[in-house]
Amino acid sequence: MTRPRSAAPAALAVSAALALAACTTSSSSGGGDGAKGSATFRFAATSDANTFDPAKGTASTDYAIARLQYATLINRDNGNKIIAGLAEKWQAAPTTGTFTLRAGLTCSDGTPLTATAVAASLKRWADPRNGGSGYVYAFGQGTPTITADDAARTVTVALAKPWSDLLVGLSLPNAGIVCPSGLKDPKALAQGPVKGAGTGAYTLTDARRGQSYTFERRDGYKAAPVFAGAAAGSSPAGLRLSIVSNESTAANQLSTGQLDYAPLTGPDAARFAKGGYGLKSAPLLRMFLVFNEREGRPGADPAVRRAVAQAVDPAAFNKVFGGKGQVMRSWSDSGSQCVNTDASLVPATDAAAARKKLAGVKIKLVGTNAIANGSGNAYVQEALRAAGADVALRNVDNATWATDVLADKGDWDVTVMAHLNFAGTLTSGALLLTGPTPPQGRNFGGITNTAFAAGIGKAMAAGDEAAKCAGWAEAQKALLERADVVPLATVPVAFVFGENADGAIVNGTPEPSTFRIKS
Amino acid sequence: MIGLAGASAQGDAPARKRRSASRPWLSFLLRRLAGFAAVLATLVVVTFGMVQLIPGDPAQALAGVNATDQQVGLLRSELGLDRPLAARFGSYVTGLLHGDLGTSFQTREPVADVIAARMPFTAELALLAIVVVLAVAVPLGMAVAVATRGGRRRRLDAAFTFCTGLVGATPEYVLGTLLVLVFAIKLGALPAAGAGSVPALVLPVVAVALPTTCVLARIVRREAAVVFGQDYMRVARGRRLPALTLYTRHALPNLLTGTLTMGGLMLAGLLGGTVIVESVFAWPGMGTRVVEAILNRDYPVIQGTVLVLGILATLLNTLVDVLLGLLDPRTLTGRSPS
Repeated sequence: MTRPRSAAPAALAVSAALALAACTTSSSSGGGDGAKGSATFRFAATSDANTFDPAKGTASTDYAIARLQYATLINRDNGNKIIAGLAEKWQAAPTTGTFTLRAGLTCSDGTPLTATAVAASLKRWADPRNGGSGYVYAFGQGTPTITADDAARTVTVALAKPWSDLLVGLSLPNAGIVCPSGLKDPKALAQGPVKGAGTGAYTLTDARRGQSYTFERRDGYKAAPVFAGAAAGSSPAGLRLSIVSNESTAANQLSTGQLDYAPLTGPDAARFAKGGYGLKSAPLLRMFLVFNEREGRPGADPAVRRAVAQAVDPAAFNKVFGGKGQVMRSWSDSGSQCVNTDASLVPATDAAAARKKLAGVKIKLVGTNAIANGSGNAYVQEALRAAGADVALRNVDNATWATDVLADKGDWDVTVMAHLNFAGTLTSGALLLTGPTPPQGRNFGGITNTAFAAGIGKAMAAGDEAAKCAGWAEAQKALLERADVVPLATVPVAFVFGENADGAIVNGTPEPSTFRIKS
Repeated sequence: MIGLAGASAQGDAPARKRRSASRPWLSFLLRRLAGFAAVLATLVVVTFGMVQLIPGDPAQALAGVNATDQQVGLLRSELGLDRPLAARFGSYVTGLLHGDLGTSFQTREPVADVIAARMPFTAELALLAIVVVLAVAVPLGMAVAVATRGGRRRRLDAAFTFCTGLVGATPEYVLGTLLVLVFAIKLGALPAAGAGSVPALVLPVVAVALPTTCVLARIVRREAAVVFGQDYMRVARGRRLPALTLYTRHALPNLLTGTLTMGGLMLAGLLGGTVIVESVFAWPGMGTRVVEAILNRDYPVIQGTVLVLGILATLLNTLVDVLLGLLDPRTLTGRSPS
């Protein structure tokens, strides 16, 4: 039997805990300074930012932060209407675009934003050596020549090859204009706020990785886009973006007034159907099947691809995700410009016909488990099994899927593609279905469809929308008739706004600059 | 000479006794240092090797679906993934020797900064939870043991066993969700989630502490029942010592050996991050960050956090052993207290 020498260990543990509590907590409750009665709009994202450099963003949080801090030359409203941004007017042709900047533009430190500075920002983004993202959507193949005229306040982009998506591409968050102070220090730009680098409506004033980001509205911002569906209410003086990885948690915070807005992809959205919440919806993922068409694979046979398309019912696939999505007739949803809506181009579901071709065929199916734990993949497996195929399913995480399928380093025959398509264009998906195969290109399925490629070429060289859509119609018909892809359905996301908050959904994405506090 | 020798021997006796008394500690410390070095070396090699075995190319994962091969290649080169494995391991070890844990693939932050930003939240949650666990479980277990000593109050015993069994077996995500439902959504008394305020601490701490408290209370209750049956306790009771003295001075120290060992193991586990509770309460701790790093193949963050957590767990176990040694020096030599 011994006696305890002292109570020091216990006291030490309590002291340490209290000291840490003092370090990580503040006196605020964290829940009382929201839309109701104050000027801070609080919203949530499910994943942390990878980078604060707009040119390098690859995920939704990167894009949201880029939108707030860095304005684009132009913006794209719903219905693919191009509206003013930093540029007040513009002229575009398949191989060139000229943009006239608004007068009196400034960087976030008040220094004038010149045409030369804008051109420097775009040149840096367009240069493949700088590791930017999404520049292909704006400039197509090859590096553009970008020039500026400060006196005329114009920036001219001359493309290497025709690319009718120039305006769409320049409206993307990756195209956000960075002022010279940010371009001087790209490393710091990627890590957080750089003084004077911003051109957008807000500046990042406090960054707490994995926790929250605070933005303040900046005076002197004169390039606010006017979206047709802009929400009513006052523009918040500040925004706070919290990182909340669990959707149910975000829903709880919405319902208790700790948040003013959160995107919800799961069943939690149903909690906000009543009670004065603003519930808006848009496609998040575009789901379709892609085949490995390399020699020796089942997908090399067009008849097998067609039979797979007949075995799978897109409407049933949609129900797997709650039935709130949209059955697609192409590799993108109906919101994309020039998208096919003709159901006759897609092989109709016909289990009996599918069985004739698929009986005994061995298929290695792979898909990401990041979407509803891979339940869509399981549906496809069962549909193909029902048609007599011998299907081995691999439900893997995103990183493994990207390596095995996108980089074609794995053993796969069919994949359930979950395409985010942030650009909301047909081009975004088409670039993954044509051209050289990995490692030289991104055509991971090894699709060889000359009519499809020719259609894309026509669409990209088009001088007007009608010609563009004619080209896309040709491309989609060529791809769907050969069953190179099998369109399935969209997986929607619900954008839930609190009782005293609102915001516009532009091209399927909430536009942070339109977040409003209702009086 | 004999006398002198005898005098000398007599003079050395206390010194030898002192040396002897200090030997268990010296031996203990040497054993711990050797063990610590072995753990450290193993962690460095195993964590580095382990991340290489995870399928999936980090550059491909980070570059995203729409990245061109040129972009992926550029990223791979930037991250140093195009270098041979041995060269990467050499750089990693050299960095560690200079106190550099590397840079996150995903966010390009120094891993030390990632850990410095996340660890306080995890440590805060873990330490507060363990304080709650020890403060509640020990008195509760002892009180029930006293009340049910000798087969008395069987209903209380059954109720205690049922309740602690039920709560102890409830998964943290169920408990966390229930707490949020009642205290945040229905009553509006506490924040549903988030960090940075004292009220926001309450529910996550309770969610972490409650199941562990129940498990530990059951252990304490059982250990206490055994201790109460020991001869020295009968003697102490025979001396009609006050109850408080009897239980705190005679019974408690003998209970603490097992309780502290359990508490140390629990704390070490909690410092690794309570992924579910962090997720339910949007708590920016280590657990969720490590999971995120694994999903994104962020090798440096995985390696750095596993290494730091391994070191912390080893230090914590050593601290528990020191405390046990202070309470009962017999534990230093590996002899079990009788």
